Amino acid sequence: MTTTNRDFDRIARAWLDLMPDEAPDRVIDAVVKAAEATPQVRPHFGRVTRRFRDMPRFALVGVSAAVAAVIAGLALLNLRPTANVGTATPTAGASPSTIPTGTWTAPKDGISFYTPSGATSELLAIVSTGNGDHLFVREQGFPVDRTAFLSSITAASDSEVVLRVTSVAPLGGRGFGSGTPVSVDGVAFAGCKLGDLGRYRWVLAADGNSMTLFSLGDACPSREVVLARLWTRNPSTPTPSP
Amino acid sequence: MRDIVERAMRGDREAFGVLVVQTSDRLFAIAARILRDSHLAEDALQGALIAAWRQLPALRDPDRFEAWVRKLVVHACYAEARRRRSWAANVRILPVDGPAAPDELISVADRDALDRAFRRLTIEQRAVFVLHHHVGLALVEIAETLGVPAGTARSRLHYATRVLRAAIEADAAPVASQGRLA
Repeated sequence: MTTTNRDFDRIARAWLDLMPDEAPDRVIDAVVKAAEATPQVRPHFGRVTRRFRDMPRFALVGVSAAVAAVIAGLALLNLRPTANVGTATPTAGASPSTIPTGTWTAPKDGISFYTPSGATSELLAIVSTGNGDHLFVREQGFPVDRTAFLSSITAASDSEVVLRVTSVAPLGGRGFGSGTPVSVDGVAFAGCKLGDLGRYRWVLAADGNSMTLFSLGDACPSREVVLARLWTRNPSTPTPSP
Repeated sequence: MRDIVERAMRGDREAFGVLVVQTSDRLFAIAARILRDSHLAEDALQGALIAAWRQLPALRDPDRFEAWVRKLVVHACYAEARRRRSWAANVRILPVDGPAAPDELISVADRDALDRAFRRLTIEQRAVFVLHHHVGLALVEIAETLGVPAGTARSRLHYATRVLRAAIEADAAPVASQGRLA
């Protein structure tokens, strides 16, 4: 007998609803009493914030304006497209993305590409070419093979992009390509098909050194589990080509 | 609520008491479902809320108080489960003081099958399952709560769902029942 998703969700919720929902009063009483006897841990920057609180109002306004100006300047530097300015050739119906180009790294985090072990991290390359922006993922330490998820990038909004799988052929041999399922902690996810679309939101940290990709839906589950996470900028690695 | 959180962050114990009353039921429900033991859930909740009081001044966004304390509760559940080495083998039957389930929603057989299968999951897989199906969090939110990549949260949910669904389906298959109870 097969249980549909909807049936299973309904049964699971009903089963979870069987359990108690109210915290006993004795727990609340114990917590309140413990709080009365327990000091809070103050962060080290408490003195600094107190100093700001004690500052005359006009001085505080000046400091705030200076800080805001610095933050705005940094944000402009970080958000400005770099390599793709003037080089991207938008295709029909596509617009150049503003996602930061360059190389980014992330730990493997239980992700397996079914390739011989050795690499401990993955590299995400976002490159700008005459044919628009592209990205791909490569296992660190293996510059020739194990490249996957070659996708074109199209801007959907200021902070969202649409990725389209442009190649599922093994890129570099050894049998691994975008069509190969990826597993996370032993659970396999379906590989990509040519043309699979995925929409992602990207959020760049204020210092520009990390970027989080949030999946808003991807037809390729393997690409989604690899891409949707925190990536750290890798300034030492030149941007490779796919 | 932001105002109450900010007062508690400044050390106002009365405000913190209000927060405890406002959130403890929801947090206890999560802990009870992850641990499947109301006594362990009480311990986890108590530990998490006291930790919350101590660490509250470091909370960066007062509007995220409940998400932040939920994270503390889940991690307290992890600690509670690991502290009890024989926890999995000694799960007590929960007192029947929870809301009664309408009979038409879930059969006794399904309930028993789910109870048994849930005990086979790791505490991390349970947490993802409860946060998704009980709290209604999306995978990205679960990943943020647990401090794991979204792919890890997804794989845990996938595994838990597979195990629990298989338990229900096996229960419905008359031939499978003998081996399952062995």
